[in-house]
Amino acid sequence: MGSFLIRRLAQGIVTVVLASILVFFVMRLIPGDPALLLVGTDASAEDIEQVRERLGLNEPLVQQYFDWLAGAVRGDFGPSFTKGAEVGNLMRVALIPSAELAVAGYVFALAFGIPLGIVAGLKPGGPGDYAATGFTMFTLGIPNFVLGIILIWVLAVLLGWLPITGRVGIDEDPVEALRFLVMPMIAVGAGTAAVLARFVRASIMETLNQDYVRTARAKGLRERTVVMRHAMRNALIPVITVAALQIGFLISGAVIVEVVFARPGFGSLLIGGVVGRDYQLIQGMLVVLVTVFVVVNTLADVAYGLADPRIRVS
Amino acid sequence: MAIAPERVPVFRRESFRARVLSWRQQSQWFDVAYRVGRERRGQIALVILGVFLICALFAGQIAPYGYDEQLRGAKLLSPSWSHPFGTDEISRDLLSRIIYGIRVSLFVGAGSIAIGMPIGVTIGYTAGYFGNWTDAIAMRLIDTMLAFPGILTALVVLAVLGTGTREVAITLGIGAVPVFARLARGQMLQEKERDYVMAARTLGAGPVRIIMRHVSINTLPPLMIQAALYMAFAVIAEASLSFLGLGASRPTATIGLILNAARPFLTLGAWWFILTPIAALALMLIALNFLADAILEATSPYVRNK
Repeated sequence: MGSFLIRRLAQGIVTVVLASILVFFVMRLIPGDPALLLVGTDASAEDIEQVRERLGLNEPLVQQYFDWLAGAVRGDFGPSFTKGAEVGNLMRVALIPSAELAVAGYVFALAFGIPLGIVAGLKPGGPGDYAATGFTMFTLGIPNFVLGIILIWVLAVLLGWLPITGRVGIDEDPVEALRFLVMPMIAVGAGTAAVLARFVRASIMETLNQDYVRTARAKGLRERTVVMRHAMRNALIPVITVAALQIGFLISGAVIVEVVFARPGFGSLLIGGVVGRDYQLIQGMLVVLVTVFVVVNTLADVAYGLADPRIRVS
Repeated sequence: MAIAPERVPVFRRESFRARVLSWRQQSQWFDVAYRVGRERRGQIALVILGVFLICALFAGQIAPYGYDEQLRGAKLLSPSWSHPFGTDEISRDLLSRIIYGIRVSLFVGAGSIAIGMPIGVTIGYTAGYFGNWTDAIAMRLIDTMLAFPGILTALVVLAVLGTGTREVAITLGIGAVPVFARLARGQMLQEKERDYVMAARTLGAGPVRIIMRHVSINTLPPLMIQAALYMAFAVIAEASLSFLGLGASRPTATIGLILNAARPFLTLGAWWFILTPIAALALMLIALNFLADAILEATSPYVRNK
């Protein structure tokens, strides 16, 4: 287990470092002088030169990368060129609303997708199976931001149950915060829920056909024991990997959903960065997002290895 | 007893069925298309995509108005005979705008495949065939690109290229490269151990000939399925990006821009303003997913030849 962990960890670190190199150098292809963005067009040539010097833009590119990386490791991502603040501080402010949405969306996906998949898988062709198939078809045709718009239309405009857009912090008013969170949460999590439901359904159907399930039935165990003790445990192990892989897509989807619901967070910050071509901001945010994605995947692999000893060997 | 003259089989004229059969034998593309056309899901997909393709190609002839034509006194009209899909907030016909929007969606979807698939497949085949350090380098690069999930790759590239429909197509094409490279490499690793590759090599075929003439034909179906699925992703991504203001700019008609314009009018009860673009998008996505399913059914050896 030890060597498996180290190997997996090393792989993750290499991926993050390569991703940071990729982002850093691709971002430098953006035309225009960031120093000019920072001081404005009516600054003198001297001022611009001074800013260039301060930002280290006169250093060789490779040197700039290492300086930036050294800062990034300590949480210092340099100044944003368009927002007038440190990238690190901007991200810290945006982190809570975004993390709140991502976690809520993920909990929704797990709490809705897995039971739906189980019901569908235990009785293929039954009502639960139809519900799962219908739900999957629905999410195939309705991308997350569109689902957000539909939810606003139905739940907020037609029925008037929920507030349309915005956010209230959980620390301020927990009930109101949840009311604001419901629709974005569903919009973010629905796609993942459908993927999970489909996967769990297939996994359960396959497991129920295994010999050991027949043995358990043949020795006279109650159906409930067969399903809960024998089938379910094995059927849900591979779900760990799928569930973890989905987190990346969930985060990238949350970026758009945040904008639909006018929630503050990573989404509006990142899109503002892309529109303003603020590479310092974009590279900082992307490296953080990629790191989160890689860490989650690594943890999932480790958890998978713990749950299923066969994986560690291969 | 002599055979009655009318019972003698006539070979002069090739029947249509026989001709179809011979086409199927000659071209795998035609064979797959033929089989897809026999699946129920394939039929639905082909009809929807066919209609949309005609809309996209002949938008100028089919659309009753221009995509940016502002009509007098037709602000936010609900559907009627003269405007079946209603009109938008600045008096433009929504049916016309959606027809032009479908053109953008299909252009970006097809464009991203046209850019990303050949590059990705070439990288994947090369890495898989030669192995060793070629493979190691290519796979490191591809894994790094895949570490940017979903639409995040697109945001990086768009920051460099700037916004616009063509830029979005290029961006999503770049995003397609690692997806196809990974798949093609896996296929190549499987196929290169097969006897027919050994036979071709024994006969003196070089790597280019083996990859192009032998392996590529046998790995076509999974790549086609991936192409249909990636196209669905590209259509969603295009709609999302133009919704966010990172794709086409106004007054161009795209599904994402129409939805963005419609959002503030929801509270005023303009249901047609969101319903029709959503329906068009959903039909397109379901058709592409059905197409992928149908190709799988049509090419899977278990259900083939039934």
